[in-house]
Amino acid sequence: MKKTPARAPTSSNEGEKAFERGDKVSAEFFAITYGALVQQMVADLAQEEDVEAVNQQLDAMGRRIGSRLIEEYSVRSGAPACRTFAQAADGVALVGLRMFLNVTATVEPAREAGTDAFAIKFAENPLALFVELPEGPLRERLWYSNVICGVVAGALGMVGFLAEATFVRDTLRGDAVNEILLCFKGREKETFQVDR
Amino acid sequence: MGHNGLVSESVAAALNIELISYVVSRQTLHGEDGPSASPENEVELNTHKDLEGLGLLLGLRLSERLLYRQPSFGEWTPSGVTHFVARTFWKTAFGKKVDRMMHMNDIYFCLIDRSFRWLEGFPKIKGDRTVSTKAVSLSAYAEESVTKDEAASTRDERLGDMPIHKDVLIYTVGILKGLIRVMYPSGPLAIHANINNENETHFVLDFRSTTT
Repeated sequence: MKKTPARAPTSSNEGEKAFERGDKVSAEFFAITYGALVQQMVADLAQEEDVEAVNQQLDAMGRRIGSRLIEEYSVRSGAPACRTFAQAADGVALVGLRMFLNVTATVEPAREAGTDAFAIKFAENPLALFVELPEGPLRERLWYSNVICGVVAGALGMVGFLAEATFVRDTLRGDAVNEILLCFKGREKETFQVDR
Repeated sequence: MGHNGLVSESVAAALNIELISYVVSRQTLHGEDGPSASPENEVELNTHKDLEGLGLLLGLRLSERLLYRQPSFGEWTPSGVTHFVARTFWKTAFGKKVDRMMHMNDIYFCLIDRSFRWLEGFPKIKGDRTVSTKAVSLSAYAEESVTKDEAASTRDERLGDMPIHKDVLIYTVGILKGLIRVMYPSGPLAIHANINNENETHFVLDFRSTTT
């Protein structure tokens, strides 16, 4: 990992402290809830092949969740305001994912995807406890944890960053690691200020 | 796995509210799309069934995880069930214990949550109004006029497909039913929930033989 040593430990510590400060619930309960929801969405598909619709529903749901969590992030994380895309990517990967999902992630620029793209990688995924995807359309096309991408994009959108987050690797599909590609598209001219 | 088995309570609460919203909006959509659209009361009843059904599924699955680590064998007593719910389940799902518990003769229990987490962000109950959900039972469905009246009253509260207090209560009662049935499989049991005008949420576990 090619990262500035002075920055990563600080952000990681902030994420850990933020997680410890908050109320916590069982990761198993969280995973079971999410699993029941995804299962219901798949069961509701009019066409069994239309798995992309579930991906989109999970993303939309995540955006709504992210737009609510960002306020708590701003108030409780202790992280400084992000002024650059790199700082925002750090905030997501090293503070946000740790604070809310208790996930240890790494972040690095993804040069091949453009100057404002970052690869966020994490080995453990609390949403995917107890989950195996069957061979077929689900394993090939479902990004089971796509809600995380929506949360990230939704939260960033509330603080003025236009971003797209997409899964590019998933351990449920047999990949070695979970990887989200975070691409910044620009900034809103006016940003929301969370006053409290 | 190095994971310590916990996530933020905020994200779990947000996810559960989204699940409830999904069920509510899905029923509304299906009701409207049907070739012969369902009467509004029927849509409402289906929403309640789906919410409770999904809650049951969660409760059953959760019981496998929670009870696996319990040393007890055989059936639990009503008092044992209630204490387990009040401490272990509440901590698992809401990150805290229930605020208060009342009981009558170790057969009828009321768990009181002063500020139920999943109703945070919902409007406060005002005046002398209360919200209640009686346990769904076969006999209740037989009383067609009663259930239709009940569905009509909650339908009037709805704004589009946004969840209302009762949806949250029905879903939570479903979870409790799924969880408790594994622990207490054969005895009589009725579960219902209500919100009083002090915005306390009460979950009643009624183990009496005859319930009206």
